[in-house]
Amino acid sequence: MKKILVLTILLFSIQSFSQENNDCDERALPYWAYEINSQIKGENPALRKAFKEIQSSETEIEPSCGFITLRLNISKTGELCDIETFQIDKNYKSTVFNNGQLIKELEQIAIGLTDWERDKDYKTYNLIRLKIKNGRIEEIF
Amino acid sequence: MKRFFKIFGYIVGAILVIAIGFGIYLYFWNEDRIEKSKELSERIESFESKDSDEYMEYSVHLNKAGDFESGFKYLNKAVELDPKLHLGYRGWIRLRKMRDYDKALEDFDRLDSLTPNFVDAPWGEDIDFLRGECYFGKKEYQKAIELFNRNILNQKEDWADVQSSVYLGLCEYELGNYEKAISEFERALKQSEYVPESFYGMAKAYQKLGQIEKAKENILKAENNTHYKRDDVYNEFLNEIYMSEIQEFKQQLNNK
Repeated sequence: MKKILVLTILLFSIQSFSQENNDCDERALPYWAYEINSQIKGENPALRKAFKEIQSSETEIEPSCGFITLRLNISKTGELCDIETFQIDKNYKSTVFNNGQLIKELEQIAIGLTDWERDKDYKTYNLIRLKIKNGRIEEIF
Repeated sequence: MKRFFKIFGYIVGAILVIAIGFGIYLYFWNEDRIEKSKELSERIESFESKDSDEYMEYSVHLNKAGDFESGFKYLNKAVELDPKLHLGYRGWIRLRKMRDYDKALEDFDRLDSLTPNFVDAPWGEDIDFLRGECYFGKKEYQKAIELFNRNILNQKEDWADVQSSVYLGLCEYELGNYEKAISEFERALKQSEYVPESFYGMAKAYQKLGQIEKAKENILKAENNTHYKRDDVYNEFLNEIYMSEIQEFKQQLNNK
């Protein structure tokens, strides 16, 4: 009986050590669900400040009109897990702005955003939306 | 005593049987639910469904999550099947989630033409208010004024969205009509005394008129009433105000 007990404890210990506790592996709940209310500290003005430089420097974006969405998956502790991106033209069809260079630069800026706050500790995602018009980033929200 | 344990045993046994039975029922119910949901998804994704609501509902989570290419594939189908029912929602999504003002206006105008002598309310908001917001976003302020005024006329002064008057103030401000802007912001405050957007707008208009003390007075009111601001966890409004911006402007005024 004692041997079985020791064996069980041993097995449980091994099991617990082998499980890597990664917050990013959890399923992301939408930002609007369960009153998570996830947002960047300083809200959208803080986002606009972060993207201000690229907004004024990029003046000849190709194609010249469309929409970019950055979906930032953020762990329950506020750590950025990964970024999914969506680039569409004015007819909402997939496109690539500036041959893929623009999205790389936008991702780099998004990675630098670290002050994510939320009311409830769940893994969630936040969206950063950019509207491209006449070759420029017209709106960020 | 023996009899007591026997009865107790029967009760526990019965409870266990019921619990196991319920568990099995739940398992199969859930399996069935998953199967049905899978079938529904397949029917929608292959465009076999003839029910416009199914396409519209399927598009919701995609658009809310920022995947507009996929979301609009299904929402467009919903509009194709029943334009009167879904044009308003599509326009609303285009305005609030994408800020695609031109296409939102196309949807609202088409809906309006399909429903003569009827004031539509896409997603619960007055169509002229939404069209006003589109023109405000396009920076066509004169046209926006026309639409916001039409909304107030349709809904009656006390029942119209208080933000109509705020937008009117903002449009006048953008056109450089600062005194008229103040009177529109005051109009909103007559409807409700807690409209921080109006106080903020008035502070900015008074600053432009060089009346710094009045500007300071209003920026303080905006600061104290920020918790009443128009807010929506899903979307940022075009005229949304933020505490950080109010405080920044207050600092500017105090430095004068």
